[in-house]
Amino acid sequence: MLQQKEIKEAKVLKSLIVKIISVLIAAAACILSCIPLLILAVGTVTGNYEMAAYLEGMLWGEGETYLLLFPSYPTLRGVVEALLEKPEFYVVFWNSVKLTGCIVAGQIFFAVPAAWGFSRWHGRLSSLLFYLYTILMLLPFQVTMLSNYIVIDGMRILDTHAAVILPAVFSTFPVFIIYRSFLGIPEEIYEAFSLDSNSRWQMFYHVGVPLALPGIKSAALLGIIEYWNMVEQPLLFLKTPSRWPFSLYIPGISYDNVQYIFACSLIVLTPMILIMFWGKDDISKGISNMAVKS
Amino acid sequence: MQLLKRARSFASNRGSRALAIFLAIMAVLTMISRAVDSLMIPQVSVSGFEERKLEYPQEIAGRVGTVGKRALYCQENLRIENVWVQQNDTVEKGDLLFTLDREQLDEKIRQLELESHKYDLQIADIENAYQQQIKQQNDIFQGVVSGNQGGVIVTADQGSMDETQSGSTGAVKDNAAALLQLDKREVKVSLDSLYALREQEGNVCAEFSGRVYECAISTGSLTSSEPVMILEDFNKNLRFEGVVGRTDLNIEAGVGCTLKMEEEGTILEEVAISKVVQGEEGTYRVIAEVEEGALRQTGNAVLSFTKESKNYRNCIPLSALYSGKTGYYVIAVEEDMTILGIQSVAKFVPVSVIESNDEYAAVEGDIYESEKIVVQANKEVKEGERVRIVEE
Repeated sequence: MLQQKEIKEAKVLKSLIVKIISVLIAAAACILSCIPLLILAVGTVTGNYEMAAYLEGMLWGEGETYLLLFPSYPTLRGVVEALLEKPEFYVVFWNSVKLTGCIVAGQIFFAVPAAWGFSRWHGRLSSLLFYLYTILMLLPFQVTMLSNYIVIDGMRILDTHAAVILPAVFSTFPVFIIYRSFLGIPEEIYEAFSLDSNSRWQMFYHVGVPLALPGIKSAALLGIIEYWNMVEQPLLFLKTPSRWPFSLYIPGISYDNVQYIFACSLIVLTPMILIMFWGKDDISKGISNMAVKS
Repeated sequence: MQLLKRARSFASNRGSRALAIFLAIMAVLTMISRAVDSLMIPQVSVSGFEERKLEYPQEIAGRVGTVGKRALYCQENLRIENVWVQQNDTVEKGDLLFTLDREQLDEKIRQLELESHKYDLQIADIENAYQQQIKQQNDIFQGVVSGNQGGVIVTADQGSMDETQSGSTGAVKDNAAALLQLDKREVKVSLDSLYALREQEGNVCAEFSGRVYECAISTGSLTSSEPVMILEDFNKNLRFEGVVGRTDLNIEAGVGCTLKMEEEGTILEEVAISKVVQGEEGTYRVIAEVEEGALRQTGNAVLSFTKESKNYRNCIPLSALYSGKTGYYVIAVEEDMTILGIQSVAKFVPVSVIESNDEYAAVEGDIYESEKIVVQANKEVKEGERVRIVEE
């Protein structure tokens, strides 16, 4: 009896130690993943010269780069510069808003009916088409870049926002997510609705969309996060600086604007933080829905 | 209706609301940022390079005076009742200069008349005395002749005696009378002059147009042998005279100038410099003759003239020329594609100055004739900085 009790206690102790270690590892990983955000916050309130001294290795390619935790002379000069003195920041900010907004709106506009079609149309051609969609989704941008460029050049929309928006609007990833959401709707619900109405549009609009809304939201939020930070597409298709999003503007870092760049980055990060803070449930619901059904 | 409900539901979502508020704040800050930028951005005036000659205007301060002056005399010892002009006054021909005391003038005339009369009497006395002397000598001679026997010798002696007697007595009479005549003539001249003054009721007027250079009389004073006034005669040529230092001497005879009278503001064009004469202590006297009748006044004046350089293709105002550690430069304004679109951006272009005056500089360097350069800025312009071109 005693031996059994000891064994049981040892098991409890072991599981406790494992739990503690797991928590510690998770906490360490969490802290490590928050370090960039911490650096960003500290850099926003640190003066140019102090920050440049700590980032010597990064700025000049020689010397050491250190992590600064507490600035000696905190200042909000960079924030004032970004928010009030340099209209350039707003140009790139609103360009990003425009590009991201148009892309996500376009994706929802095209992806929802496409996903509805795939979910309701079960045939060989449909399966083949969806298979192609899946392959396209797996292809990275670098692979489709050349073909995209040729098409865009042929359409004579190079160096316009349309060159970035159009290819992204027809992305397959949101179709895939929303498709999974539509599949998650029980067939009985459709059958029940078909007793009241034979209209497929009514079924799509009144049953499909409301019930797949978490997936649609999830696709939209993931789209916002992805396209808010896109670099390759604007870099390739946009030559005129006034059409750039902030992702092309921010890399111009130097010793005399380091605080400004940090401040810009923090401001640009704010909408993403807001989205993640209030939209994390929708995102996780959409992703889990997709995973479960897969 | 359902769409509206969904929109409301979306708006009521805290995340959506926060995002909307964030974007609204960014929109407001965008406008504020633009307003601040329009105040902070350097506002500049621009111009192009000019093809021109550099001018070196020079001014010489001096005085326009007459070439010759004329003295005005009056009879001595006359009392001045009133003086109507003063030094530096400009007078026209016939203008009243001064008035003599009438009573004293009459008295003076009376005295001179008496004096003249005395001379008449004295001359008459000398004449009478002379006649009597002649007569006495003749009588003596007749007596001597009647007592003598040698005819031929007598004749010869008589002739020589006549000559001797008449010669000695005549000389005495001639000198005395002639001296008196001379004195009388002087008195007569004075009298004539005084008569003329009396006819003019003691008023003395200017005989020519000019300027009172010096006035030696005052009310109540007596005239003397010195001139009562010295007048500058405008009928004679006027002349400008000024002095310049050696460093300012950038002029030679024959250069056309503009003469401006300081007080009256009269401007004479094409006044030629006649002479540049070395003066004292390294100074130079610049003389320019004024054409006859061109001016009716004298006084302080400024002689100005402009010397021109050769023609230069790239001239800029001095305000557009900046100097830095590496030398002179101009700020060219170029259109550049920036984040804000096509903007005017300042670019520093090094130049070398060939020649300059007080306003312009002729420059050369890596510049284009069509280039716009900053000639005026409301604040310091930095290399590569955006600038706002102010329309004039």
